[in-house]
Parts: sequence; structure tokens; C-alpha cells
Amino acid sequence: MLKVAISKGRVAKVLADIGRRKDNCLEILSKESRKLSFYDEKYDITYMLVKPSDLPKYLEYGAADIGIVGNDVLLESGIKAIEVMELNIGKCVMAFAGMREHEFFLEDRTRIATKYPNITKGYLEERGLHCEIVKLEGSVELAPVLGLSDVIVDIVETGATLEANGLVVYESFLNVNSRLVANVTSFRLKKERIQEFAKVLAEGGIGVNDKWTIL
Amino acid sequence: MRTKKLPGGIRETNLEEAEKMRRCYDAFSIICREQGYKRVDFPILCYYELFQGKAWIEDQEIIKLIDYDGKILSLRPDMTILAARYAALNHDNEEQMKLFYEGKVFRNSFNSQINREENQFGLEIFGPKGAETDCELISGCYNLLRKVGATDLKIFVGHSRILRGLLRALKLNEDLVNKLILVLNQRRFREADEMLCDIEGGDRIMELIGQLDRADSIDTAIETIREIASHISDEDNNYSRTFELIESLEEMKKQGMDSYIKCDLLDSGGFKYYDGLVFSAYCREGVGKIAKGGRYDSLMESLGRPMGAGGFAVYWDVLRKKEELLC
Repeated sequence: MLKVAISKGRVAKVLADIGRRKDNCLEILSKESRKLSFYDEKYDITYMLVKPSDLPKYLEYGAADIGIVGNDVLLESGIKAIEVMELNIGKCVMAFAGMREHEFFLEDRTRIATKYPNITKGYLEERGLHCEIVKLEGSVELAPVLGLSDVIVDIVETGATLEANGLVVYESFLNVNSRLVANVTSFRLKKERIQEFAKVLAEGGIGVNDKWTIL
Repeated sequence: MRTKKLPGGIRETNLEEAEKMRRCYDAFSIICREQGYKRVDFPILCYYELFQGKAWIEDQEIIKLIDYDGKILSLRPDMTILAARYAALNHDNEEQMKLFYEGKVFRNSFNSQINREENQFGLEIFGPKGAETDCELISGCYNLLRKVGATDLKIFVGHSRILRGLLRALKLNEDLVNKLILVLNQRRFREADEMLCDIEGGDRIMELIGQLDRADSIDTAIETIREIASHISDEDNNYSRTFELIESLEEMKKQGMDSYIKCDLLDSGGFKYYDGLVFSAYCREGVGKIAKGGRYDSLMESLGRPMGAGGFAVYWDVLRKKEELLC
């Protein structure tokens, strides 16, 4: 059996669309249900719908063999997982942003509000900086507006939310999108099954099948 | 009924788990003695100076204490380094010295919400080097695990020098090489490609790394290593040590070990004292690695007693989750 963890929300919806179009192992996802976990006997796959920020834990503890989640979530969690394939879902960037009228300058006294303290700290360490990092759970755009921080680090897709709150992107430093990733042990022991699943995503048009894809 | 709140404590092993562990260790001892291994006990408290500045284990992982005379002690973070020290002190001929051990190691990197301890048993072989010794190590690990009930085993063989040798050929600094190795161990190829995009020769090295990744059987691994060998930097004998792997793989095939061996040529082994063949064992439906090992001849050189050295440790805390264990 292959155990597949899928991030609730946009990722689950895109996979359900692929399931609707063709006779494949994603078909079961296209059936409306409130269940969070379901087993497909035909393909011997168990799917589990999980909160994106929880998905790395399912992989780390082996509750899932593979998962589909953004690399921002993965990097923030710090877990070791094998990246099988990049996906064309949720493409955006991780960026520094702040008030339009302010000049962007990073120094040790800069206070940064973010939902991604680990990613932010890692990037600053590479630049030899030790800024103050304030961890927030949401509405990060408010932080510089209300004086909680000088700048923010957040994911930016179109920039519309930033603009609506009087913020601009100062500098992006990481490309973000969804990835198909595998538990380290499962990758070694179930490689063929994982590759079959990855092929379904590639044939469905969301998997990037290039020289770096493990297929 | 308890009337007082108990002080907080780190989790103990329950009675059933402790019994199971004891039975497994006893079974392991019998098997090792039958094969000529001798039991050794290492101290739990060591002088920190044995590990300090050596970069074998990350410094922040070592749990340190201060002795009454101001000396820094540490809880043993690893058995292999202690075994190496024992061999450096006590072994001075070409014969094999075969040791086995059981016990706990202590590190800050373990799940500190539960404990900082890990139960291990393992064995180490000192003396001769060469393909036959490598095969004895790996087949010893495989047969031992099968005898205690861990079936459906696969052992993945890698080498600590191949990836490092390829990256060193680009004249990169040590920090960047270490970072790339971490990234490549997780197959984050795009990220590695971006890190090397401005480095002359980076493209070609990434192509070779892709070839290494695809070489998962003994035959394809031998073929691939031969093809890429000329690109490996010979700094620290990376190039020549790589050919030792070919000899070992050929011997493994000759001994029929290819039925349970796969290759993972991007696996550098994890511990920095590994300087040659490395291997990891996995069970079907297991959670994580159940054993890891490799060669560490350079560690013996750094202790002033050059000799062949290799061993492996079995992680009891992972192995115990296998319900079909015989012990």
C-alpha cells in the first residue's frame, strides 16, 4: 500500500480535477466526501487530507510515504525528505516586503515579522546578519503598518494583498511551489510505486518532468 | 491513589519493552560470540577532548558536563569513536580484532521531548582492509538482523568520497561542499543546480551527479563509477578510495549479496568519520533506518594507529517497532 498525504485546499482541488478527467489513481479524490482519509482498493493507495503545516510530520514519522506540499512548508519544518518532483501548483516567491514609502535596508537591528522564522533565519545567516525575528501566525502584512516590525518576510503570488495594505516587495530570495516529496525510507523501499504515482501527476499536466525529476 | 504530583521525568522504558530489548541483546551476543567477536563495554562518561574540534559529531549535539576539577566531560555520543580509541590502545598487529557492544548513546539531536538517549548494539572490525572485510561487515549486518527477525531487508551501499570528490573538483570551499552534500542527499537537484550555476564546470558535475543517482544496482554502480572516476578530485585520496568501492561491489556480487543490496551513490554516510564504504539497512514497512555503518580508516590514522576499521550500529528504538521480532 502507498500512503499519500495531500495538503488540504488548492492542492487537493487540483488533484481532484485530474482525477475527474481520466481513469487514474486520483479518481477517488474527485468524489465529494467529508472524509479525511480513504483507501482506494483498485490502486492500493490510502489518501489522507492534512493541514499543509502538518504534512511534514506525517512524512517524518512514516505515517505517509509521499506528500504534496509547498517547499516553503518543507523548508520551514526542517525535515529531511526526498524531493521526487516539482509541481506547477502554487508558484510564488518568498520575499522581503515593507511600506512603500520606506527604504529597504537590512541590518542587525532590523525587526522582521514572518510566519517563516526558520527560513528567514537561514537566509539571514547566509548574509551574516542577526536580525530580530517576530513569529506571527497570520495577517503578517499588518506588522509594518502598525509598527510591529520594520519589514516582513512572506510568500508573494500576485502582490495584490501587499499592495492593498500599502506594502511593496523589496527583495525576493526563494522560489516557492508545491513538490511531491517522499519519506526517506519509503523512497528506498517503494521507489517504483512512487515513480508510478509521479507519472500520473506528470501526465495530468502538473508534474514537471525534466532532467531533475526522479522518474 | 497518588496524592502528590510527581516531579517531571524523562520517559522510562516500560517492563515489556525492557524485556524485549534484553532478549534481543542476548540473542545478538550469542550470534556475535559464535562468530568470534568479543564483548566490550565503553564508559558512559568520556572526556570531551576526545571529540572536541574533530568535527566527527556536531559540537552542539554533544551533552557536556563539568567535572569537579574543571575538566569537561561528555555523555558518550557515539560508540564507534570509543571503539576506535580502544583499538588504537590495544591492537597492534595485522590480525582482525572483532568487537561487539550494546548500550545507550546520548545526543541533543535525539527527540528531546522524550529523551536524549538512543539504544544501540553493534560491532566493529579492526585490522585488515579490503573488499572481503567490507563484505564481512555488510553480510554480518544482514545476517544478524535476519536472525533477530527483521525480514525483508534491503541494504543500501554508498561511499563517503564520491560526491565529495566530484564537488571538490570544482574547487569549492568546505562550507559550500557540505551544504551541497546535504541538499543532494535529499535529491534537491534544482537547488544544487542553482547553487552551482555560476561555477565553471558546475553543469557537467550536475550531469554526473544525475548519473550517480540513477545507478541503483551493483552492476550499474560499477559501470557508472568507472565512467565518472576521472572527474573526481584526488584531494584526500578521493579518487583512489573510489576504486576500492568497485572492488567491494564486485566481491559482493561474487558472494551473491546482490539479492539484498542496492546502491545509493549519493549517500555520504552522515557521520564525518566515515571515509569510504557506507551502508544503511531498511525493513519493509519499517520506520526509518534500522542500522547504519561504514569504514573509518582515517579515524584510526588520526588516533596515531593506522589500520583498517569498519563497523555498524543497529538502532534498537527503530528495530523494536518490528512486530515480528523473534526475541
